[in-house]
Amino acid sequence: MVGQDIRSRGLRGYLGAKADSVFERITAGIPWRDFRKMLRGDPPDRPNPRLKPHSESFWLHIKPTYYHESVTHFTHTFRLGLLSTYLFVVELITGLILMIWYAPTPERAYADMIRLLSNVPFGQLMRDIHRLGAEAMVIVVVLHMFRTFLTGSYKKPRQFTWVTGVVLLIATLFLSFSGYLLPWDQLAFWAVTIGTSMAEASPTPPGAGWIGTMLFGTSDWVGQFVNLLLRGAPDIGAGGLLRFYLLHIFFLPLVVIFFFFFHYYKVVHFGISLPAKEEEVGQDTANRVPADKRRYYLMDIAIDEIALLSVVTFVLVAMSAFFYDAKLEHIANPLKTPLHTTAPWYFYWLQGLLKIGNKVFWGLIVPGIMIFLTFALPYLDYNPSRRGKDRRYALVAGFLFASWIVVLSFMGLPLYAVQSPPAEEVVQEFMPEEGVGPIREIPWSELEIGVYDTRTFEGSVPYSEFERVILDFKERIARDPGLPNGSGIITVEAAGPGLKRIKFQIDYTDIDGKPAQFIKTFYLHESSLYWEQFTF
Amino acid sequence: MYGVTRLVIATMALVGTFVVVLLTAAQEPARMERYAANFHGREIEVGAQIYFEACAVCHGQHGEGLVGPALNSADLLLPAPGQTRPPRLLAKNYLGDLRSYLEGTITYGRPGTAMPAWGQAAGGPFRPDQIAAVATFIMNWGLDPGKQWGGASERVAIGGVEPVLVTPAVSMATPPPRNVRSVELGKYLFNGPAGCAECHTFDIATGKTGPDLTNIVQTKGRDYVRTSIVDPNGMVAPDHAPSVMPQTFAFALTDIELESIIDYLENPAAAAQEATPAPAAPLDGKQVAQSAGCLACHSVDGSALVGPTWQGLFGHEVELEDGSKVIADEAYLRESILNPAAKIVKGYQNLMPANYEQLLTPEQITAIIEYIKLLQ
Repeated sequence: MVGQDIRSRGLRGYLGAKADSVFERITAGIPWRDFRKMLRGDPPDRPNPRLKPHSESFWLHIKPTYYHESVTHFTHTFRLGLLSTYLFVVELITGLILMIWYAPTPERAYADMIRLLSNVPFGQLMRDIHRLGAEAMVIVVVLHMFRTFLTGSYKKPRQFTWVTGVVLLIATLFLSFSGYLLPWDQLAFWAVTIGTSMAEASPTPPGAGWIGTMLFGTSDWVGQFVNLLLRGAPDIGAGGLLRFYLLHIFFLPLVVIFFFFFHYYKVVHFGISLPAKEEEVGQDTANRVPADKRRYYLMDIAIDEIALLSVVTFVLVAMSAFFYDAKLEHIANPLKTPLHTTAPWYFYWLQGLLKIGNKVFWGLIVPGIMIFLTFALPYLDYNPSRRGKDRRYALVAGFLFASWIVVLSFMGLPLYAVQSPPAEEVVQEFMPEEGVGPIREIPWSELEIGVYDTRTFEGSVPYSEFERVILDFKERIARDPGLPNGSGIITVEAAGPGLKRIKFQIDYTDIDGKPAQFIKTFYLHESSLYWEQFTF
Repeated sequence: MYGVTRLVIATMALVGTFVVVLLTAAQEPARMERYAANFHGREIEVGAQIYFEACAVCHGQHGEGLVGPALNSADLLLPAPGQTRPPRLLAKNYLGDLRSYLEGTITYGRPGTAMPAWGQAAGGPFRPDQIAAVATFIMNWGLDPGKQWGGASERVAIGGVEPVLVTPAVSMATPPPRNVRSVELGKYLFNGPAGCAECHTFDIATGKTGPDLTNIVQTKGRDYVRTSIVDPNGMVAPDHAPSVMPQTFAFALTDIELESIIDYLENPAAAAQEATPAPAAPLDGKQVAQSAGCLACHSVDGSALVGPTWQGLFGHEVELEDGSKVIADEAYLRESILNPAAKIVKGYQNLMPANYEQLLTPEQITAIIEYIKLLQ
């Protein structure tokens, strides 16, 4: 066969034909001559060979062959759907790499984090990208939903696309939240303890008490049951960690992948909705694209996407490498609740709701209604018009809903958390249990040994960094209304090689007019490098 | 239709990403080293916090050793000349390294000494990572063994009064025999090897970690005290944290030793054969009367049981079997306890045991009489 071919065409002709066919197999049907034209931006040959990959290749067959020109402008969609998909892929890849060094048991999880960060090349970069990508994904998915709301793209026939999108939004939030616990540090442990204790508030529906009486020996069983299901035990421990791990690496990604294809099939099937002004009210002409309005995916849109994703990748990697550090606090200690525990920021709104009042009503029924409304929006909004001037009520309602979330999140800020006794708060400000604070920012060698009493301390100009902090401390105690006649003493003494003991003592007059005292002791080692690590 | 701009942007971004990764790669070895040092430093901080809270009581503020052996010392921290292991490990014929020696000792304690097991593996309060942190802290002394770092951490008292540093006085010439139950053995164990006195006192004012034990047996009973020593978390005194007291006394103490300690707690005065007698704790007559069985036959509320009631007895007239009358004063009560047959109250039979002289100490009898005096 081969010999015959070579004889009929000559060796050169034979190899040329062979190379062509290999090239076409790789490009799923585009000959190299047209491929070059494609990159240059020349129009295709006739018949158009650039349509073939859309039927030959798996990844391209799920992409549309061409788009309506109007929907390809960046400001129409901001490519937010593509971005959230891409961030999900980034999470999959970095997550898979992180899994190599991680075992989900309380004995190992934290030590594995330390090993990843101190002994694995690029370990910290991978972790930072994974964490930053997760937070970015939450933002992008929310923005994507908001854009869809503003352009009215959830309306007929795209109602169900919106519903699958809401599933994806919720799955994204829970993906991010379930990953929170895995490092097994104080931040993780207590954020998740708070999160799952919300589930514990689930009320038992009236008339269902007998099930619990029969099975668990208590009639108020739903909350306990949900809690047990999530944590695997009354408190978070080995069981809870394994469950969150499996949710994070297996179940929730599966949900996202499944609903992604569901969602995306519908997006392609119905086409991206045109800007509202370009079609009659109640009409949907996204799929009828006149020949002169077509922008082909290959290679026009594809290059758009590649350029955008390249820039996003660069920003993500550069941010992670230079500006962003995923926090890792001390190892989880179930016996010691940190002073200010908070949920992750995307659950601040829920935390804000819980502060309003009744845990069942504000923590469960109200969020339940909010989620239901989000799901049901396309079926409740019967207005067929997607034009802004016809949708005044819907837009006002949408902005009110968004402001409601923002206000609630604001109320959920750690700032409005339950405050500890004033003296403890002051010490927490200057030397927090986790993180840095003014004292740890001072280079270790400048923390001079001595007893600094705010009643007598003056310092000398020019103030050293430490002296300035002591004066701040003095001023902070003096202006605290909860610390009448307050004064503080900071004692710095050596406690070992390269180790200093820093003791805070605050004396004040308590409510009964009696002298009271608050003392807290910290240790600081010279190579813990707080000041270096947290200043850029 | 489309220009090269986007291709150029994409190429630049990809090259930029590559450069960032290269820059990171160049810094990775230094970064990893820094992170390891960083974590080492924080581990020492955590270890210090635990050491000064839990270990310094016995091993000293500077690791110089008090009840427990010195830890801040070259013979533990530095390898012996020409050896890989420190002299103390060699002396014990311990084959592992220093870290495993320290972690093992902290986790499982040293049976037969005052060192309790601190690891959760052996029923103690600390997780493995906390014990590793303490070991790291101790090993950090090895940079300059024996040096005393900083002052003692006394509190600066309100109003400028310097607090008194309490040091337990342990002085016992020859330890009492371990196989004979005695108050002396209890006292020796309490203040010495069992280490109770490190946390407990008979004096509220000293403010030690454990609950004050004055009259603990009299107020709570022997069973409570025994249970609390064997299973400290079973009943935790108010204002005290669980899991602070070592949970190893059930294995560390024999029955004789355990009972001796309770004997000592019940009556510290009985061990006062030394130059410095402990202050006698006043006995609770009601407790003594209850444990001696008096109240089975004598009521305290006026009702007649097998024996006459104690209520309104003291100082009043009693009619005896033969019709004569006596005043129930202290001498009468003492006689009736020691020799019940001497005077029988009218309407009662002589059923009372006559061996209370052997069963009760003179102090206990006095306590019962004081108790009867109160029942007016």
